[in-house]
Amino acid sequence: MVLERAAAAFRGLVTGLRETLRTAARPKATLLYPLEKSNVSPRWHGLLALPVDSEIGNDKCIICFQCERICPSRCIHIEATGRGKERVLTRFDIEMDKCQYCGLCVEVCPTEAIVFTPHYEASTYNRANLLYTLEDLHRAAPKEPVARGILR
Amino acid sequence: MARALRTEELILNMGPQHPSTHGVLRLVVTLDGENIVEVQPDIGYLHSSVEKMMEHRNYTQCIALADRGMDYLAALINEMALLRAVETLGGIPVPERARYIRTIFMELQRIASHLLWLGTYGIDLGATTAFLWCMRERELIMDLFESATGGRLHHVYFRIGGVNEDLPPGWTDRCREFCHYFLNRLGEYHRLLTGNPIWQVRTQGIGVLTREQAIAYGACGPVARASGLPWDVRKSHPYEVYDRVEFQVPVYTEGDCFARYLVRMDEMRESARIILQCLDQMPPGEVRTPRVSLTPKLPPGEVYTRVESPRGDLGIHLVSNGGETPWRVKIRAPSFSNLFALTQMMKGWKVADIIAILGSIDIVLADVDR
Amino acid sequence: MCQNLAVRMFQDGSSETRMKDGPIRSGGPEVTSIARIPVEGSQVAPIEQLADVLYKLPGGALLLTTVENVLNWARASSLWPLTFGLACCAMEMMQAFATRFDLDRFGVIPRATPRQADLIIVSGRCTIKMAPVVRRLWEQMPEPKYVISMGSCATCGGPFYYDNYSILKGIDTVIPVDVYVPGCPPRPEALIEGVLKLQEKIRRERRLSRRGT
Repeated sequence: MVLERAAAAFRGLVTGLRETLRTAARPKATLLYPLEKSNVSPRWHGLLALPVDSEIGNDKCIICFQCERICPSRCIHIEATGRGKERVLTRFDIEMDKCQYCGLCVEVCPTEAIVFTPHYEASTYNRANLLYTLEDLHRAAPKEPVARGILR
Repeated sequence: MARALRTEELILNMGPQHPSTHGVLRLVVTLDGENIVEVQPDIGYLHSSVEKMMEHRNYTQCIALADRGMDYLAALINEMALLRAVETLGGIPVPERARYIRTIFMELQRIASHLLWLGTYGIDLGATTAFLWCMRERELIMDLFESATGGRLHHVYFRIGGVNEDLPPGWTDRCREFCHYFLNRLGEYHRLLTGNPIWQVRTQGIGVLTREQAIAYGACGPVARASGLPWDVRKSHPYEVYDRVEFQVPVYTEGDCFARYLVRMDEMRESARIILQCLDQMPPGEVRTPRVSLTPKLPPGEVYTRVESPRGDLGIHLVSNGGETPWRVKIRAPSFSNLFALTQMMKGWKVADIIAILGSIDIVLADVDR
Repeated sequence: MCQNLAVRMFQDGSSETRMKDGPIRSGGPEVTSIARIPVEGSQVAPIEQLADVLYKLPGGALLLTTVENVLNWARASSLWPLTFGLACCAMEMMQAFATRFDLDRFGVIPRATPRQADLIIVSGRCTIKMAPVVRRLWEQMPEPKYVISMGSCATCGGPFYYDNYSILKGIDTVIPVDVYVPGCPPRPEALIEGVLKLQEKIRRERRLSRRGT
């Protein structure tokens, strides 16, 4: 009885070890991050941006306030002067530290003015740097350069 | 000596920060030597007032809140629970293709959640290899999610009346390839863990919950199915396309940690089979009912609907008074009932079994605390 | 345990939470270097007295700077974080420690006890009930210690900022933060980039040299 249990235990251990050693011989699944970066999918919810359209010379925002109304975190703040079609944007701030990257503002925008970018590296030392104003949104890139650490 | 030594009971605090409590759970354990006398959970360390916040968000914004405020490992299943309530109360139709897509994503989410459970359970009991392998498979599922929904962990992909966008081209082939690859990997996990003597000694016979106790405590999900209670919402109250695919619900009768482990391994296999059937049966067509607004007003009334999350029976009681925001949302969380069944399961075992039993019930503290 | 926290609710649904007698560091000027200047009559550790003496000798500043560089390189290359996951961001932190984005390549090994850790990655939403626990864990960590705030909820309360009575509006209301990593949740690569930014910050620290400035 004891010998049977010992034999079953030994078999269980050997089967497990065989699996482990077999995996050790296969190519590794690790991505060496700062040296090689994975391609994010085209639908990835990265940082938000209002890219400048080359034909218009400005972004495509028509100041309809739909994104501000639908945002569940209330992180978009828009102010405009003027009325009707003569509206001029004075303030378009997105608080990237409150944003939950849900995509409702991108879905609801009628002119596709606000879009997701593939950027995701936006760490910062100062929380105030995570407030993206209109010129940061036009630039469509993180505010600080991407860190490379102490690897050169 | 025949005269007994004077002993005292020790009260041990397994505080909110602990490497193995899977979140911020505090257990106050009363010990007699190495034996557990009583366990009292202290919860509330992750209470995010989700039910109150939902009263100030319209239904589409509630979807964005549901997939991170409640059980964050079953994000799409939380969205489905909320949408099942909203679509039942509002009488909103959903196209067939959207139903199939929703089912495929829910089953993928179930596999991902069980893989994370297996990885963390393995690393708690010392099997570090299981953690690294499960995370590798989970990364493949997250790649599938990212290419379709845009998010790795939180998706906000389901909408009232369907899903947000159709699947990208080539996605169904990649998903099919993943399912076949995963069924092979599942055999590897069995060879690694199920026959291992250390795994068997640590989980067989430990933390037994009998069928009567499971019913008394309201346990649900794999915890109840491992104790002989064949309760699965996908079979008893079918939703989406679960009545059109064939799958089995694994039920074991021993009620110990090993039975719960086997239930979840079998569930992963059944989920892969459900996905393959859905991929074959999925019709072409639209994925979103047109002319359903993003901010609908539901008629006044109340409804209670339930879905099967990886933890058990997730119920939503939705009360509407005719506005754009819900009047009251009550979430019946499966981990809450399973956690209190823990107080029964732990009596009489040793200190080292606390981790084994706590890991085997697979709770997520955001689900307990909401 | 909540007596030493003060919560103020505002009309628009937001609220502010702070420790009653602790530092308030929410945003503010960028701290990129730390210089410790001894106050008259205070007890100064022997190593700092030695640094004082060396600084005044000819060539002492160069020696101190070299020693400082070596120490900073050692601290930055082996940051050991406390295993501290609160909510969903903890899942991405686990992915960052796991197979595809191995943080062990950077010398980052998780430790279970705060006494042996020098980094705390606060990942996830922190409730008011949990705040004294986080503060006590931070106080139990030995100097030099660093804090990474991972995700929107730990940075500022995130999606749980408005209409919420129980989540802290940012973990920097109870502990000082070195690096903020935004995202909901941030990708594991974004967390690794946050760790690399912290390594650069540690490289620029001046704790021993620059005394008397």
